[in-house]
Amino acid sequence: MKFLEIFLGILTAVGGFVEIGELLFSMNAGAKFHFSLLWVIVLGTLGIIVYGEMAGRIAAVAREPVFDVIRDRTGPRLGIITLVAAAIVGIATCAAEVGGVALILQLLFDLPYRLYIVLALVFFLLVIWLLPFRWIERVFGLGGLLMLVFVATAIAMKPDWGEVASGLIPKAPQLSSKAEYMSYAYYAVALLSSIMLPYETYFYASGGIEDDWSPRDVPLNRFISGVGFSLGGILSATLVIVGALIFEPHHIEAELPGTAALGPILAFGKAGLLLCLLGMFFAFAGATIENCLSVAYNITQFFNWDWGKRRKPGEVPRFTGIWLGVMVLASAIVMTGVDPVQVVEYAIVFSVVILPFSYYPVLRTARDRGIMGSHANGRVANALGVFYLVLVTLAAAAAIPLLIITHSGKS
Amino acid sequence: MLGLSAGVEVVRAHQPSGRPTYLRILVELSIVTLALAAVVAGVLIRESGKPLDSKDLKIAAAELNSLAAEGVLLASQSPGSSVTANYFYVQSRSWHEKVQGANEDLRASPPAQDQQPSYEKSVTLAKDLASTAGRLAGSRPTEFERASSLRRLQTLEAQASTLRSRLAHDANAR
Repeated sequence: MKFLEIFLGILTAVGGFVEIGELLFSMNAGAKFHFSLLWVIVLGTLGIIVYGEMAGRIAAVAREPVFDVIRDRTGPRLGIITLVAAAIVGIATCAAEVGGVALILQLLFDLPYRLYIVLALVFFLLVIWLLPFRWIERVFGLGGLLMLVFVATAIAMKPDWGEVASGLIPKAPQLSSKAEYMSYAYYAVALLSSIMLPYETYFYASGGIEDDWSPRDVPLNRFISGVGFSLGGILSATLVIVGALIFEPHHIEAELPGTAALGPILAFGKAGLLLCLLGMFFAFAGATIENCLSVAYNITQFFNWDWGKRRKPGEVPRFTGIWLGVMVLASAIVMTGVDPVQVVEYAIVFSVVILPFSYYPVLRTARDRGIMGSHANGRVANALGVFYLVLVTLAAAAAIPLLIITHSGKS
Repeated sequence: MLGLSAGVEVVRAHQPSGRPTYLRILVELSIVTLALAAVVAGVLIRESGKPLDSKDLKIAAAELNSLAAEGVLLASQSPGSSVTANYFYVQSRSWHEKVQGANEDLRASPPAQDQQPSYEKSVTLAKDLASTAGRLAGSRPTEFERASSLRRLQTLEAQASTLRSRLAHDANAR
């Protein structure tokens, strides 16, 4: 039974790893810079493992979700700024994912886009209201595993594996101009941010509390975050490889999920297309629900209100009201006709700015023996925590200037 | 274990501040956000009125190249056979909208004086691409129409690729 739980936990972590922004950023990184940004995937995956594990451990030992920790450790001023910024980014990402789901449904069954936004809204409201937390995680996490068709595509395209391996080592590529180096830096920051999206940590820790984790679950947390996120990182790396092999020779920049599907189509025809579209549907839908619930978790945890998907909606009225509101607002945003891909692109770049404010209190709490007792960070975890805190702070400082200077990586 | 619970109590002792404090912080935050938004809006308005320079045209040519190449890959698919008919028609329409958007954006901005020839080439290419995309996406094309659109798109992709390389070279040389 425990084995099954671990197995399902890992699979859901893999299936829930990729969302619309990461899909397109990864493919375009490959299309623009071949395999030379693969090392960022390794770096980002190790970062999300380090901080996901810490946040999960705090949830298991102290039963403190991330925004409890942020409020207590950074004080009200910085805490509320982080909360507002995380809520804005969460709502924007949720809107983009709803738009992505509507685009996928349109590719599957040709009806008007706005009709699918309304249908998606009704679907999500019913799913979040009716399905238990564990089922939400499993249905969408396991369905998202269909995205493994991209792994099969990468293998079928027979890349030069020696060249792939060399992309895993950080080194400056040979580019023709300063503008291209700036664009390379922009993609490195955006890729790092798309892998270390803050909502993943918030949701993961809240999920640990929803699942009643206790200090006995610390090894389980370590195993699931380590293996699940690593396998998710491999999926992201294959997206870069597919982008490099299929789009780079034609100078294509994928701006639509349907364009990303061209990879599996060229490798496996109609079967590849259907697997890819279904995989994207589950992956984007899972990310919609995770973002929507994350905003509700963050706000209720910050203000010490009752929260929990496990509890009946009437028992946690503020929590229920917030996720309902977020879902409706996110759908309304994409109903205006705004391009979901552009929305998620900005959301990803802006989310890197929140990362230091989210990670600093997590690191401080995880290393505090007074709170964590024997489960406090060891030397390696502390060293990695500090390294990634410095890294995301540098990335946060560079993100917006790079976005402006490079016209979102276009120059 | 005792030490652990004591530690938790220490953290819990930091309760959130009262509502008026949060309200004040939120008001301050809104003012700062509005000020930043005004600065960004000002920069965007100034940028939108600026004539297209070599860097802008390089970006526009890269976009046209990307769209033309995507059109070639799409038109190479056979609806109902290598892809589903729904995918082909919906993706063609979305792609057509992107092409039209690129075409309109290009026409909406005048070029800098020294960029007139490159601008005219880009506009002609965008117009040709939009018209071919319209034929492929407009109605359910026959096999013959799809094949003829594919040939036209291949030509346009080659032209776009040449233009992109030349403009990238010019922009880098400056």
